[in-house]
Order: sequence, then C-alpha cells, then structure tokens
Amino acid sequence: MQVRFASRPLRRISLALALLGLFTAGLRGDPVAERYHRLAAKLRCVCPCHQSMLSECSNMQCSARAQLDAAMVKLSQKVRSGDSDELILQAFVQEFGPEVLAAPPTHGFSLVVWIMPWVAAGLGLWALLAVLHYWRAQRPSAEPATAPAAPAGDGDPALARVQAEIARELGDWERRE
Amino acid sequence: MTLLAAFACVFFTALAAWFVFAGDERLPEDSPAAARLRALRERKQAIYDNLRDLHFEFLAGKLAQPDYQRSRQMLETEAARVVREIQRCGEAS
Amino acid sequence: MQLFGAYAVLLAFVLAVYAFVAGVVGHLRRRRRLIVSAERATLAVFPALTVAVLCLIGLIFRNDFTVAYIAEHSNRALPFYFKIAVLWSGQEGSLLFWSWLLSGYAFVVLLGGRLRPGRAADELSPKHAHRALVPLASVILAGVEVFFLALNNFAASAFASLPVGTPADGNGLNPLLQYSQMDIHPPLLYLGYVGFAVPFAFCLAALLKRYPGDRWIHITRRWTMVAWLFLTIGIVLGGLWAYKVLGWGGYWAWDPVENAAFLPWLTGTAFLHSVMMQEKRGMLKIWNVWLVFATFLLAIFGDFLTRSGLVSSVHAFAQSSIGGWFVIFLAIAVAVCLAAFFKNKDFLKSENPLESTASREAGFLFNNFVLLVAAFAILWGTLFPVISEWVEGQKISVGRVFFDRINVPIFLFLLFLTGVGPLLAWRRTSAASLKRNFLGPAILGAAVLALCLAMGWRDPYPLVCFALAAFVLAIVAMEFYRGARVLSRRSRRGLALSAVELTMRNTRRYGGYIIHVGIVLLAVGIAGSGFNQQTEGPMPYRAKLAVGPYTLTSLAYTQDDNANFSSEALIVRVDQGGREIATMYPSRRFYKASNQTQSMVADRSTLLSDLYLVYAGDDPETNQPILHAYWNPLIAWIWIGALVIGFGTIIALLPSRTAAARRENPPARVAETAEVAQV
Repeated sequence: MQVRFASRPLRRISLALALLGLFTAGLRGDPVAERYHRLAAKLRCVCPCHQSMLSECSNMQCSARAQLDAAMVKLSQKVRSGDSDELILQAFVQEFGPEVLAAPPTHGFSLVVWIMPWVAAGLGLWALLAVLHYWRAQRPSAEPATAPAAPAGDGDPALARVQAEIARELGDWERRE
Repeated sequence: MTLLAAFACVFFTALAAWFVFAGDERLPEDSPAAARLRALRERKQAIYDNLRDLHFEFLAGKLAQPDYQRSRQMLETEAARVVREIQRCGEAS
Repeated sequence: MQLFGAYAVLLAFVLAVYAFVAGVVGHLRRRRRLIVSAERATLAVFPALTVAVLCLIGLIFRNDFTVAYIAEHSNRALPFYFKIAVLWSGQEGSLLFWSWLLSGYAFVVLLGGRLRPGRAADELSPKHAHRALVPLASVILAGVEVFFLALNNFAASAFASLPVGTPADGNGLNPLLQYSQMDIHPPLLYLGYVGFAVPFAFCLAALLKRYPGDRWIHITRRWTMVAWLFLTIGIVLGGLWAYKVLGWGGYWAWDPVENAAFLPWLTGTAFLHSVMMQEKRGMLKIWNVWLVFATFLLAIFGDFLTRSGLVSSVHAFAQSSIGGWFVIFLAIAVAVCLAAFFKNKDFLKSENPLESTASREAGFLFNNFVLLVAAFAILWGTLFPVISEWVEGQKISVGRVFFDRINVPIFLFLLFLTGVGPLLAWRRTSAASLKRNFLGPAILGAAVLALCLAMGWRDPYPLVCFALAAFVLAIVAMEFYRGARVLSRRSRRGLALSAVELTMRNTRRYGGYIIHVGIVLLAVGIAGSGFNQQTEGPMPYRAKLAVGPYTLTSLAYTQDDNANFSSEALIVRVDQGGREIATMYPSRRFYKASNQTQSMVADRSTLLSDLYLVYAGDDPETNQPILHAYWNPLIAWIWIGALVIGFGTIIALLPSRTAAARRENPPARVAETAEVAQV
C-alpha cells in the first residue's frame, strides 16, 4: 500500500523557510533567518499538547496544525516585512491568545508566576536562617567551643565505661592487621 | 462457561475467607519498658557508629585534631547519657 | 475470563475494605484476632489482583474485543511484546496495574515483617521492632488500596464490556507507546510512585503509635530508597523515550506529567538527605515526617494530574473524569496527616540542637531548602495555567522557557552543595578542616572553568556546570582515595581493592557518593544541550545538509509494509572531515489500526555527541522529503549518569559489611546486657 504521509509540523517550518528563501541562503549567519528562529522560539503550539515550541509540536493529533501552518507562514512574512519583534508577538497573541507565548509575559498577572518562586525562596531562606538562629540559641552554653580533651570519665562511671569501650574498640581496629 | 466461572468465584471467595479468618498468629507484645529500652539501645548503637565514623574520617585526614577531639568528647558524653538512661530503665524493670 | 477478572477485582476490594475496617477497629479496641485477620486480608489482596491482572493479560492476548478497554487499546496485528504494554496504556488498565503494584508492595512488606518462630521472644531485636509496626502500616496500606480498588470497581473498570457488539479488530495501541522503552518505563515509574506509599505507611504508623526509637525511620528510609530508585530510572527512561520517539531532539519538555513525576522525586531526595540528621543526631523529626507525607501526597497528586486532565499534557492517553475521586482522597489523606501530626507532635521533639552553621547538618538543611524551592517552583509553574484561568479567565502557558530560567540556577547551586556537603563534618567544621578539604577540588574546578573560557565558550550555565562537575568529582574521588588509603595501610592491599572494601563497609555513604557521580554525569549531559545545533532542509537525491561536524547526503528512499504498519525511510550518508562514517535511516510509519503516523528517529550516539535525524515527511508543494537534523553534544552522559545512579542506589541498599558483622557479634551489646543484668 502506498501511503501518502501527511507531513508533520516541520512542514510549517519548511513552508515558512521556503517563503523566506532561506533553504538556499543557509541557516546560520543569516540575520533574517536568525530573527525568524529567535521569534519562533518565543512562540509555541496551542494544541492540547502544550509542550512544544511552535516549530516542534510532535503531537500526532495536533488540532492546531492547519492554523499554525498558516501562522508560521505569517511569521515569515512579518519577519520579512520588517515589523518589530514586539509587534509580531503582539499580533500572535491577538490571534491565538496569550497561550501562544512560550514564556509568560513579565507584566500584569503573569508577572506573579515569575516572582513567586523567588518570593518562596526568600521566605524559605528567611525561615531557614531563623531556625538556625533558634537552634544556636538553644545550644547548651555549658559546652565551650573548644574544650580540652577531658580526663577519662571524671567521676562519671557511665562516661568512663563508654570511653573505655570506645578506646578499646578503636584501638583494636587500628592494631588489627 | 458461565457456570464454571461462577463455581470458580464461589471457590475463591471461600478460599479467601478461610485464609483471612484461619490465622491465629501471636502478635509480639511490645511493653512500653521494652520499647523504651530498645530505643535507647538503638540510640547508643547510633552514637557508637557515629564515633566509629568520626574516627575513620580522622584517620582519613578529613578532620583537624581539635575538631576530632571535640566531636569525640561530645559523642562520648552523649553516649554516657544514654548508658545512664539504659541503667535507669534496667532498674525500673 | 472477563467475568472472573471483574470478580477478582471486586474480591480484592472487599478484602481491602475488610482489612482497613477490621484493622482500624482492632487497633482502637486492641483486638488481636481482628488485627491478625486484617493483616491476612491485606496479604490476600495481592493474589486476588494477580488473578485479575492475569485475566486481563489473557483477554488481551486472546484479542477479546468485547472488553471495551481491549477494543480501545489493542488490535490483532500488535506484536506480542507490545501487547503487555496494553495493560498500562489506558486509564482503566493502568489503574488496575497501579493497584496490583500497591498490593504487591503490601504483600512484600507483610511477608518481610513476619517473625520466624523463636525470634518473637527477643523483644529487643530490631526485627521485633519492625514486626510491631507492620500491623498498623498494613492497615494504612489497605486504606490506600481501598481508594484505588474503588476506582477499579466503580469508576474505571478494565473489564467493562462494549455497550453494543464486538468489533472485528481493536483500535490499536497508541503508536507513541510501541517502543521497547515503553515496555519498561511505565512499570518502573509506577513502581516508584506506588512505592512511596510504603514509607508513608510506616511513618504514619510510627507517628500514630508514638513508636519510640529510630527503627521506623530506618525502615522508612530503605523503602523510600527503593521507590526513589524506581522513580529515578522511570523518569530517565521517560526522557529516553521522549528523545528516541517524539522526534523534537530533546528529552525533557517540562510537560505537566513529567513535572508530576519530578515533584515526589525532589521531596523524596530531600528526605533521603535529611533523614541522616535524624538517624545520626535525632534531629529534624517533624521535617522528615512531613517530607515523607509530602512525597506520598505528591505522588498521588501526580497521578491525579496525569489522569484528570486538569492541565493539558502530551500524556493525553490516560485522561478522564476521575479527578473528583482523587481530590476527595487527597483531602482525606491530608486531613489524616494533619490530625496525626497535631495529636502526636510532641513525640517528634528534636534530641539535639544544631551546633554550627559550618556543619554537615547545616549543609543538609541548605540542600533541603534548595530541593524544596525547586519543587515549589515546578509545582507553581505547572499549576499556574489553571490559576491564571481562575483569576483572569484566560490560560497563560508556562513552558520550557520559564522552567529552564527558574530551575537552571537552582540546580547549579544544588550541584555545588553536592560537592560541599560530604566535606563538612558533623556538628562543626573548623576553618582548618575546610581549607584542607576544599582547596584541591576548588582549584580543579577553577582550572576547568579557565580551560572552558580559553576554548572560547561563553554561555555561563554550561561553563559553571562543567566547573562544578569537576569540583564534585574531585571531592568524591578524594573521599574514596582517603578512605581506601586508610584501609590499604591496615590490610596492605591495593588501593582499588581497598576502595571496594571501603564501599562495602559503609554502603550507604559510598553508594551515596556513587549516586553523586551519576548526578554529575547527568548534569554534564544536560549542560551539553547548551551547544546543540539543529537545521532542517529538503533532501532530494544527492542533496546535502550540514550539522555540527557532519555533512549529510541523501542517497535513496525505501518503503516497507507489514500487518501493523507501512513505512518509508530516507537513506542518508554521514560524512565527517570528508570521510564517510555511517549510513542512517530516518523513517516514518503509518499505523493501520489507529490511522496514525509516527516518525522513527535515527540516532547515532557516541560519548561525545549524538547525530539525530528525523524524517519529517514530504513538502506538499515540492514533494521533496524534509529532513530535520540535530547535533546534540554529550547527551549520552545523561543515560550513563542514570545507570550510575541506579548502581549507586543498589549499593546503598545493600547492608554494610561492618554493620552485618556487628549484628553477628555485637561487643557493645554483650557488655550492656551484662550491665543491665547486674542492676
């Protein structure tokens, strides 16, 4: 059976790149191509997979494919027409909603998503330092910071026993060949 | 086929019921005193392990002499405290 | 067989309900018979579910398409080795599989907790302590089983029939799942997820019983390590699958379901570190208990996220409307944890204070802090689309860009701590010790940094990562060398043999170091992505495409056909430096039963880099095949790192030789028994 394979999302790129005439121009070092790739990386597929950049959607049932094919072509046209990056991205948001942006915007309510991890980190660090401070304050003050080696179990039979046991065991260990 | 399945179902239900209710294992009674003594011994063991580790790290050259002495002394004091507790538990029981 | 399978699931449910109810009543009223029968009922759930799973597998192999689940997820032409994967490829089957694994864990826990006749008399043996906790832990496990078995019976039955008729063939297995990795990735991941129920059960049991001593925390740690091992391997295999199958050149997309698996991994990792503070110094008990609770709750939450469709994900094959059940279960579990904690929190009082901020303890605290910040950031980013929809009415997408930007610095700091931690002494580290331990590795790290800069690399993250990798590896090597030198002096054996002996003397510590090496290798592999190159282009006969150091030439095009799929492949010659080094066959398959197309990636992997080719189909305008080529440096080290992590974890799970020897002949204990006897 001869199967005509429906080309997957990369068709978008090829189409867009063909429109830009970039296949022949070579991808690296061409400022227009680089700008195109940079902008494509800021956009992503709006199909339910939600995982991929616009150019990479690997979802078999990508529901937004036809729409996005057109979008990639539009992107290539816009890149060529010389619109500013911001204007191009804005046009995409208007068409697909804020979901199309690969990273949440850094203004409005979405700013919260960027700030919260660092707020949590700050609060956590503060709590950590507070706990450390509290524990240090709890430390029994009787123990000097640098105590001299104590004489073996001064008047404490339990300590003497422990010291003897440990000394014997560790001594044995060192002697054993 | 359905009859066979029904028979198998009845058989397995009976088997499961027998298994669940046939057991009469004696569960170990855990008196609070024994549990406490065991906990203290575990603690003592842990402190002795810490002492061995400390000694090994000192031999490996990871610790300066004063650090080693100080930590060893503190661990020994901690172990002595636990040993005293063990003795007290022994007295109580 | 269908009827019998459904019956077995129902029987398992009845047994679990009995185990839970009788166990709770038995413990409250101290009825031994009830407790014993509850334990035996928990044991019996496993054989019952094994029968159910075998029935489902039998039905799958018999192509019984009267069963809705099988008609939906299998077909006649599916090769037998993928038929097994049908078991977990959909909601109902994977839930049954989940319950089966959970009952398997409970089975092992109960059998492992049994006392041999004669041992019960020794009240002071550790085995006895273990046994004392098992009955309550098994009741908690039965409680968790009740929830999942309720789903299996009443919300998502794998044995339900199709409403009308029997189709001649099934819809087939999702092509994305028809890979060998898929035969092991989900089971391992599930073993990880489900496994966290065991430490949770022991921890909650110890808290409810106010169980004195450290035994419960040892048990909890060991079971956490087991689950953690499975989860780690499962996650990495998922990455390997994404890389080899999805065809976008990467292995981790911060997809919500990937994040869901990563969250319990992070808290589990935090616990495996902080637990040492409890075992060594009797500290951080409250924190540890909550880490165990959080890990279990996050595992259930992850399952909820995967199955409920709350957030959109590429893992769309297991979504349905059972989210409500999970919400109720999570709410009950949180309430039980909170109640148990507040009722018994005095039991968790710390035995020792922290003595210095320059100590191993403080190092662990920072490690936990960083891991939890990462967990929070990931949870927050994963849920933010839902939050933004609630607040603003529109879904804001949070993807790779966000997660990379937030997490890369966090994980680099964690890598730094991986090195620093082992060098800090317990209690206090003086400046002299610090200098003695840090100087060499720090110099090596700086040298690597300088070397990278000299090579003209400027991307800061990979640079820092390579420098830190050198730093950590130097520290681990130093740890092994110093320890082995001590043993070698004593036994007069070679350093290599002594290093093995050293590892076996303290498997936990040195296994842990091996895990750190694995983490470093993994980090190096990830840092390699900073140098990735990709290109795409039409590839008619003799067309060329350059990527990385390679030149690709299109040679020909072939087709193939079998019952399951038809395929077409490009034949691509790979040249490097003017010399032919390989021929690669990127292809595409058309699966007939499911009517789906799937790219088959061609990947040429070496230790230095991967050449990764995707045949993306034909250009509709020109009919020319389009090739997408990626050059991914260092990626193989991710998989090698994961193997090393697995090896290290297995080492860490082995009993230490010295501990085993001490159990045989415990000198301290003999003295102490005499001591008690004297009194």
